Amino acid sequence: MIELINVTKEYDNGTLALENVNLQIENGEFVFLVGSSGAGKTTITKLLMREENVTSGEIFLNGEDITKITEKEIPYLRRKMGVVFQDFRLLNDRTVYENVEFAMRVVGASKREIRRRVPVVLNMVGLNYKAKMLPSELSGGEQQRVALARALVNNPSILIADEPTGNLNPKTAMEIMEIFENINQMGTTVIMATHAKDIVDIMHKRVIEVCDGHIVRDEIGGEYHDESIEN
Amino acid sequence: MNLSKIRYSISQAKKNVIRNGLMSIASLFTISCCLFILGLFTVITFNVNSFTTQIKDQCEIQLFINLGTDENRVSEIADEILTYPNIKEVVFHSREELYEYAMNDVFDGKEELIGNYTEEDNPFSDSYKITLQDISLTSQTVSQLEKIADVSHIENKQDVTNIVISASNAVKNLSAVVMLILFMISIVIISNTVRLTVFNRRKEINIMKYIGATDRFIRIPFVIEGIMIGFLGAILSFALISWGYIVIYAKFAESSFDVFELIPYINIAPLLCVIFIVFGCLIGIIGSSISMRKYLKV
Ligand SMILES: Nc1ncnc2c1ncn2[C@@H]1O[C@H](COP(=O)(O)OP(=O)(O)O)[C@@H](O)[C@H]1O
Ligand SMILES: [Mg+2]
Repeated sequence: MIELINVTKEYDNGTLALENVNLQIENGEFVFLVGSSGAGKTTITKLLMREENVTSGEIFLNGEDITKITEKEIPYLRRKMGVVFQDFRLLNDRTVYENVEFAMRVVGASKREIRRRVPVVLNMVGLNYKAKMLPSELSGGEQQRVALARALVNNPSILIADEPTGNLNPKTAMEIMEIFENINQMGTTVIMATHAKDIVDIMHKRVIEVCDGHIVRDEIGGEYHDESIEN
Repeated sequence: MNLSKIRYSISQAKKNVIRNGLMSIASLFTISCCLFILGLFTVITFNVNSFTTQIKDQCEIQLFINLGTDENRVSEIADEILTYPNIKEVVFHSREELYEYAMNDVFDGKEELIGNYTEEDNPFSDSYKITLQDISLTSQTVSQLEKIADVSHIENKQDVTNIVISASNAVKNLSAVVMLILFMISIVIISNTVRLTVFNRRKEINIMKYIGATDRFIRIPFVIEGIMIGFLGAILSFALISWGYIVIYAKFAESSFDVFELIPYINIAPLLCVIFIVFGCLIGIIGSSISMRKYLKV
């Protein structure tokens, strides 16, 4: 379980990105973080990965306060999470297979584990037939699948995605969302910051709306906009 | 660190060196030059040390006995000399020997310089060549020996020895300064090369951090890269120095120059090799650590 208690984040330049945020996410949930640009969605994901630390407040991950862990422990925190970004962040000089393999290398997996596991995840994202291609030879949707495979290869319990469909056309975006859905079905917690109204509306998941650093709405099975206000 | 991580780090470092291509070659070349000069000064220092030891070993004083002292007294003096401290060896040179030596070796062909001296009218006196144990005590020993009866005077080459020793100290100090400067230059060069690699791979480093790579795992390939360049530079310059030394040693042996001998290559090679490799690796480690401290905030 992820639990944010009175989390406030003020960046060094004085920007107050989050203020007194309280939030609970159960294991296995699928959560959308929505809100306009600059609302504080990315900041929440950064705090979860300890790319940034809170100014005040606590963040518990399965009972452990991750705002208190040392620099040395951060890599081990991140191994429990997979991350996907809008801009894919693939290594362009390596093949699809090598990009995924890379994530296993980094955490010290053996050659045997790598040979067994990489084809499995490539299969999950439907890309095993393009394993030998370079990212530049793939479409945007395919590149995001590679990034997903890389995020999943180490069996994270939480998958964090920051605008993962921001660079994709609606049809491709929906295909990617199907993969997220499948991953979530297998028990992985998914936390996705997004702008994509149509996707949020179709998926009918929990929607947490952030506005100016505050949570203004938290609704199970919600839509991108608050219906009560719109109607 | 398990085996697969170490292997991966090494293969990454190799790739870094290759991808950096020209920059790696340039820095390898510069490091080799620096290490070469470093090695040159090491070799010079070794030889200066051995030279001063040779000089010290050769340090002798010559004690002359008053003309007309009878033979028994002359041999008594030898025993007396040996009762003093700091005496290593005493060798007798008779006045006849000295005369022979002067006539045949020194003034051969220039007999007119000797004037009217003949064998019977030998101007030389009997003498003892004395080797000392510790030349730094030469002046004390000399003033003690001068007090022995029937001793006319003592010749000592302490001035020459002092000059040689202070000259060799100067050379050694110079070597130390030059070596220190080159050591630092080498570190800067390696650190720059590694900095370039870090810059080229910033995207990869960023991804590694998200995936959960430890600092150590991210850094080790860069350290290995530094060590590789340092090590290769060491091997190259060691080969060059060895070749040069063997050639010069041979030239030295051929020539009639015999003031002092170069140390045989075999005697310096092992220590030199160790010094090169240690320095090469040290340069690599320090250089890459510096640039990572500056440019690789994990
Ligand atoms: N590294 C940073 N330094 C200073 N201000 C930042 C930094 N990152 C984000 N911000 C500010 O914090 C606020 C929230 O940003 P962010 O979490 O990225 O919003 P979102 O992802 O919802 O668009 C914005 O006002 C943004 O300008
Ligand atoms: Mg954002």
